[in-house]
Amino acid sequence: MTDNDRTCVGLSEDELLRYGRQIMTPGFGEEGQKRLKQAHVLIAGVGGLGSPVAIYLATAGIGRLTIIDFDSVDLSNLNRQILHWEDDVGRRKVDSAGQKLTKINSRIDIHPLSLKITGENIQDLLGDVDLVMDCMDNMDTRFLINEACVKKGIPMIHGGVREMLGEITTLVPGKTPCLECLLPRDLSKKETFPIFGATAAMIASLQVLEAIKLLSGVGALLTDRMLFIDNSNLEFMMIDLQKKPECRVCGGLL
Amino acid sequence: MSATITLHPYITGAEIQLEVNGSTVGDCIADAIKTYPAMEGKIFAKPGKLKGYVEIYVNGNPTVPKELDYPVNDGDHINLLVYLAGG
Ligand SMILES: [Zn+2]
Repeated sequence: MTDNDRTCVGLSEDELLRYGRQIMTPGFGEEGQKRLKQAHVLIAGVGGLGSPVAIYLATAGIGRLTIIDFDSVDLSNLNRQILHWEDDVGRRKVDSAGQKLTKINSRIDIHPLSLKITGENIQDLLGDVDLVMDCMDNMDTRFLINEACVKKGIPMIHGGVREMLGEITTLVPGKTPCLECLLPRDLSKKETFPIFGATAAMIASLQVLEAIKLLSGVGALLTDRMLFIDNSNLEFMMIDLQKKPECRVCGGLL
Repeated sequence: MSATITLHPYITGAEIQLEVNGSTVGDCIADAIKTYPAMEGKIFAKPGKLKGYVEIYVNGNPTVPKELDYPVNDGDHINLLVYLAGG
């Protein structure tokens, strides 16, 4: 067995050392680390949320990361998209991100895909994915991913940000509401949104913790509730979410 | 006209439903602001311009593009949503 063999169930000496400080966590242990190593996580969008999400999933030792973004790096991204640096302006985001992530952790598999997620390709993209990190910057694509995740029974960790505001919830098909239970699909606002990088980092970091808990089975998930944070006055609000029995997407999964 | 309005928890600290009066969405919101003055700053970017994270539905129908000028009839239900689309 080699270090790079994600399907091997053991952890090498290197891995035991590298992830030792998280393996020490009561209840997580080597078993938790092995589960992270065996996991395939898709990160939809490597922007403000996706950058820190990808960094922390990579450092945590998720065995396989697929990162998807069709965009190229723009100077106006640099206030928040911390995987992209000044020299990367003009580069494809997945190339810029993939290069850094490989340097952060060369022992995991990283699959960068420069493409736009559509209704046509989403089912294929989800393939053998265990979990989707919703780091998109628009609701239309979120709804597409949500619907495909519900169809395939893949959990999705939703994050959204704006200004100093953030929201996060973990969506598990068949158990929790889906995104379309929460919001109508015909949302109209399509404007450039104001955002501070640290707002995105905060939500991203919570998304990664949800991912680690979901994949390892440790702790309690943020399901059936949405954490809504207003950092302009440090207001944290836990909002109860209801599944809609008549939901077009998940209504049949009650 | 008398209608009910449901306000997203972020607007009022908890999800609130209240009776409001007015013949447009704008009037009804102005009426709700009398009860919850703090909501004004949370939903308006400037007078007459809603923040980008607010979306309003009447009886489940989107009010855009009229939005604040959208007509309200007796017994209508207004839903004021907040969502964060950015990433
Ligand atoms: Zn649903």
